Amino acid sequence: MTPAPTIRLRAYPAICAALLLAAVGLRRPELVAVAAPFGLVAAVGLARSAPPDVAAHITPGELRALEGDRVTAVVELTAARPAWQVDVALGVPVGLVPVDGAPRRAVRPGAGSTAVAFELDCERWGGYAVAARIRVHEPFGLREWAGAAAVPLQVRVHPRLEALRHPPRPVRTQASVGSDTSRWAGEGLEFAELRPYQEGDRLRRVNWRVSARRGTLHTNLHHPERNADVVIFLDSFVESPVSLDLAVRAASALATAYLEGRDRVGVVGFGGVLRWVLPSTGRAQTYRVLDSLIDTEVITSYAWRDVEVIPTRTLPPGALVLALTPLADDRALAALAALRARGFDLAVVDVSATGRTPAGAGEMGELAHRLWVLRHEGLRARYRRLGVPVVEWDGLEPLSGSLALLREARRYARTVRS
Amino acid sequence: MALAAALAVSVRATVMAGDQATSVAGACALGCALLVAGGLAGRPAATTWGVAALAGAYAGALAAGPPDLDAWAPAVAAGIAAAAEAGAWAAELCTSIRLDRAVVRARAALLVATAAGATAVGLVLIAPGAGPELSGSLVTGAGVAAAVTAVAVIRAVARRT
Repeated sequence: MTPAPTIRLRAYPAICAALLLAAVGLRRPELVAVAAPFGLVAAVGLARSAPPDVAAHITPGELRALEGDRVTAVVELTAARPAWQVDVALGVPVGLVPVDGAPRRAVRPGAGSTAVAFELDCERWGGYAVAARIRVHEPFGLREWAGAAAVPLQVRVHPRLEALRHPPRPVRTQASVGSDTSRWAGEGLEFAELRPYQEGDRLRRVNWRVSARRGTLHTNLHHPERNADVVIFLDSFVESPVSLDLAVRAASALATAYLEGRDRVGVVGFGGVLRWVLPSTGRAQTYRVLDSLIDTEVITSYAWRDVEVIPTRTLPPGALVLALTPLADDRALAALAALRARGFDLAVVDVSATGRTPAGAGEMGELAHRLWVLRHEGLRARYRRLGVPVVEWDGLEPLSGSLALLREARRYARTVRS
Repeated sequence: MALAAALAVSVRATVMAGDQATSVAGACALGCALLVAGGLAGRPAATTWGVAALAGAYAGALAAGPPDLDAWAPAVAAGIAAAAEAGAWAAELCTSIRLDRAVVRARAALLVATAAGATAVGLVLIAPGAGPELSGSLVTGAGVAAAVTAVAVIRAVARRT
């Protein structure tokens, strides 16, 4: 622990000495009586001053919660001997709110372990590091000893997710079993077509009613249930908290919905810093994806990036690329156009929230707002000309409504190669 | 509480000061202002120097006042010590912090003990001087030696720790 002298350590001896000298100079013993407490406090305080044997650590080491939840962080103080007074303070980042005012407590820990609990409200999604600092006071306050918990508490607050029953389905399915109906015929549950019996067809596939009517054997073909690859493309170039918030909420809801359907989901965070999670499936992948999403932040960069910087393994062939973008940064727009040109099944959710963004003050503000809205409409039209469906989500309406429009636009979707 | 103690010391010093009452009252007002400002702004340095100003005002009152021994000196010492302790506590409490009851009890006990100790020490120191008037080079030399020794002892203890 680091000692820090207080003002008393410097001032009390000086006041004592000055009063004693004044007592001698003025020949007034009363000043000795006034000086004595300062001298005694300084002498006794320094004689008793010793490094405190107090350590702090936060339990648990990691917490997961949903927005709106209340979590409890416990700072455990371990002391070899009783301490006079220990101030415990939590460094609470924006997004977490201490329940009982400021997250500071003054306690008197005895020998052994003392738990100091703090309750925090999780107001906004995000990954937070909550540090704990302690300050040990001495009885006469001549020195203070500062320390901190070695490892901060990691709080991961996930956004409240909207349950998506019907997320957009990819055009192409993969080889593993899943909940998507493949376009190919094979072994499955959903009826695909009827064809004349061929050698090798299983007897249980024979449609006896049709066979009796037509006089020759016919067999049923089915669509097999397969999984799909979905890559969520998160555009984090633009410094707009509303857009980023909407993008992360939408991405979390989509990723969770696809992973519950046994699809493989990957994430590409395309911004000042490139982040990615390789496509995979399962519960562990759900946490990997959500952790990656809540760590997303806007990092300003002026370096040009294109689709070449994205690792190849994060974009498996035939994957549905769902882009969540405010359609504002040319680098992200160029990357999406390049993905489309490479034949990826691409769909765009515009999270620019143009409808929620009011115009600026004055005639120029109004004009700028109109130009901005027009530019967005132009960009959406450009993507639609490329065969990429674009829908807008402003966060006021349920995401499922925008996704229903996207599904409608993708009803006849095909992957193309230019 | 710090302000109450400081005001009590101020009243005593001003009453003693005689024709220098205005100057002493000004010094006391400065001390009280520093004490209050330090307590409200969370500046322990201001409270400490406010207490120092009060002690200086009392010294000035003694210099300007009658030569008789002030029988209220132990009470003044207790008042200044209590003002120092309470002022430092007020400065600490300026930032929002939740105090456990044990901390409040301990700090209150320390405050009372400091005031009581200052009174007791003052009485012990003042009692021998209450008889014959202190004078002479021997007593002066002893006083200077005591002051230097006290500072040296404090410095030695500080260096050791």
